[in-house]
Amino acid sequence: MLELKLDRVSKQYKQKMVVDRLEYTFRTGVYGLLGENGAGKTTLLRMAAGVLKPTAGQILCNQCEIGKLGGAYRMKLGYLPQKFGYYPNFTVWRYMEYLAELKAVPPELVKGRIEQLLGDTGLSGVQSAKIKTLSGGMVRRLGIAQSLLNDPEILILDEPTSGLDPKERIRFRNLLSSLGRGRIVLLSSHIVADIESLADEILIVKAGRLAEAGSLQEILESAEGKVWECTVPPGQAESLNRRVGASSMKQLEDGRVCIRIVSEGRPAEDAVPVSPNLEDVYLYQTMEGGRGV
Amino acid sequence: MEKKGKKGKGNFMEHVPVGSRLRKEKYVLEEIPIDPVRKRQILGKIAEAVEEKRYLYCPTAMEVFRRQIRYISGFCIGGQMACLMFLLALFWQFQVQGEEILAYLGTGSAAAAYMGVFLMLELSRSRDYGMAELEQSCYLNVRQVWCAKMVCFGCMDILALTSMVAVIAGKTTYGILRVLVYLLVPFVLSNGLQLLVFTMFRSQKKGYLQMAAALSASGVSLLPMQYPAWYQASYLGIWVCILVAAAVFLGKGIAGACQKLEEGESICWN
Repeated sequence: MLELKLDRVSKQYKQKMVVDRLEYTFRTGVYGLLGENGAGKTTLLRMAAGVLKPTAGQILCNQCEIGKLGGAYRMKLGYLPQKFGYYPNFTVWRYMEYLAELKAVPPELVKGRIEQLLGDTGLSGVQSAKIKTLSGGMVRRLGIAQSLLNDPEILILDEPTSGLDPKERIRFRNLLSSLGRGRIVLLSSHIVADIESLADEILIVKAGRLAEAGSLQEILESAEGKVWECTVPPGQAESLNRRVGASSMKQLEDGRVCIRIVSEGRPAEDAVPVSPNLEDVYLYQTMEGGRGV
Repeated sequence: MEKKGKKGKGNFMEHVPVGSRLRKEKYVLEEIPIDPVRKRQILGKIAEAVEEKRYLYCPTAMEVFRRQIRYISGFCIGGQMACLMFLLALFWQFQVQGEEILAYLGTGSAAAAYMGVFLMLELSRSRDYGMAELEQSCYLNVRQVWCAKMVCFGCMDILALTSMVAVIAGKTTYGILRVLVYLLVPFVLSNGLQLLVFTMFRSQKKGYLQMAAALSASGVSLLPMQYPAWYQASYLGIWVCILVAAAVFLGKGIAGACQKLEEGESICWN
């Protein structure tokens, strides 16, 4: 069984520790990474993709350090970087062909594989178009398609749904849910709903360390009793929001405001505890002075 | 299968004592009925699984070179070819019109100094367009692709330099090694300078800077034409020293670039 292990992995840029002695073992399944900007998600994924060398610690694929595995590791890998580059004068087809060659896809399979992936990502109609003429969403879909060219055993997707419209996001979710079987998928996103619907396990990263990790159920349990809801007049809602920060606010027909708050203690006298959702857990783990790290 | 085995064994068993034969027969497998339809289905599934896992293979070095050439930008390969053509035209002029050797050596040096820019422009494409991070994660990573491109362009450089050296050495008393030193100095120095520009700057407009550096190097290479005495044998030691220093500078530059690639930080700064 495939296993990818982070063994006390750290990455330091000058004085800043971006990833700090992170330990985790990935086995087949979909793993969702959540965290604020600058939490270290992208750096972690870059290290897992073998693009960036850790300052300390090592990443092991089936007990072998990935740097030592070299091409044998990269053969198993599909990667979509956050900032996804392309040669603007390449057509979609040529771009896919080029990457298929870099990924060592056997020549006799290249055509069929490209056709299949362009079909899956809804890009068949633009295969002869130059990439510079495509919309942002189409370019992102092209990025997703290229990451699957070599049928990777380890798939690393950094913010794959950013720039996609809701319909495209649903299409991506459906594609990924069928891909999750028999491979390791590491997925980072700011869109909590995407992670919630796709990931078998969720990792919340804060300041380069794992704040929380586990299945959705386990993650939700970590914020049990920390999420409150109350219905208050607008003025009080404003002051509560300023004081403790609201997870959501909803204006009711009677003019009052239903406010949802993530807080260690009861934020208002009439606040009642409610079941947390992933967004609440994310807020709880990443809030100032939260129990995260 | 079992039937065949029994038949085969039958003849041999006739010579085996009865007790021993009975012991042997204990191990004969019972006949298992095989459903041909199901067998075909299962074999089909195995074949499918094998097909599915055939997405990867290891291309040979020749395949890598052949395919990478297809993706080299037209501008870069065209520029390199133009340099080669220019040198051939010079050679023709030198042969037919009997131009002065010094003019050929000087202009050839300038062309040799300029040739390197096209390789650098080609190498910097992947970084300038933010492709390096993705390419680095592929089976053939940036380092290997750069190696393939360097070999392709290097072959053209060697062809140009060798033909120049042969022509000049054949028509003068300079000798092959001396001419080689005169031509290698501007070539290596210019490449070192361009590698410096390549590693220090990063933007899609860096190409202009790269070309300006190459033009400057070419201009400097024309200097000995103004001072013909520099090509005298007494100055050869200085030329060799400059060549060694330039080679060390270039070697260090290449090692530094490789180290940066290995660490990956420069790749990720798109």
